[in-house]
Amino acid sequence: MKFLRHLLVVSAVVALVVALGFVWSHSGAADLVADGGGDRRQVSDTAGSRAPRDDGRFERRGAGGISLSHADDLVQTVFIEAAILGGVVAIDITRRHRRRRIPAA
Amino acid sequence: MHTRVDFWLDIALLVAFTLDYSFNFTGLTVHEWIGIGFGVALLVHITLHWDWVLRTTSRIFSRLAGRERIRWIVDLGLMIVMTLCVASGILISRSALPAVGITPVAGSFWTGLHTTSADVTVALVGLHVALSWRWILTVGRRVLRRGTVTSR
Repeated sequence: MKFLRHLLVVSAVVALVVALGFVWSHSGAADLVADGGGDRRQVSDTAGSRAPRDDGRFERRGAGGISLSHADDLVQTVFIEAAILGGVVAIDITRRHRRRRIPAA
Repeated sequence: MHTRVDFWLDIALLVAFTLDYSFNFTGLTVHEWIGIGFGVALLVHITLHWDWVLRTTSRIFSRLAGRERIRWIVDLGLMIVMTLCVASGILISRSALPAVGITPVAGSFWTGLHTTSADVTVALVGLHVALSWRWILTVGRRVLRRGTVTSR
């Protein structure tokens, strides 16, 4: 019962975030994400029109299912997450060691 | 029991997100179905931790340790960007939803939002997992040994 009550509240919060997304899509700030950005952005053509940056990805890999020949994409994701995880864990361990070495005043 | 479910759900979410972010590996159809399943699992994940959310939120401006405060900020950001990522993914679906007869709205805003939120999410997921690494290690050891587990 408690789980269902919490699920209802969480669903309401999620609905609120999605509603804010719709508000954003109709606001002037929509341009912040509308044409994408970053590494995967599609290069503008000569007329200057901008395609969504995911189009290239969608064209390359449509409905083909899992492709082991594209495993490098998975390796890249694992690498990003492992790098962040490793960095935070290293900082955490270093801080704890330092705290143990410094005697309390 | 709760912690065991929690642990395996967390692992499943991490694996699902890692696969889903690797778009070229999964292809569009698998990417979309994993994303939809991920959205449902995410709702369950947040629901299971709702007590922690309420408890921490009530202390955020007063007596909360720095680490917990960082965790709260990361988790809040993660909830917002992940929700936007899943929602925008559903709204630009080209395979999963049309297959069940639903034609979602498309548009450069939602496509851009989906990619941008996914890029932010991958960083926040790493932080989210990293901030709980001791819990994961402790519970992981116990779960794999099939011993008793403690609550987070």
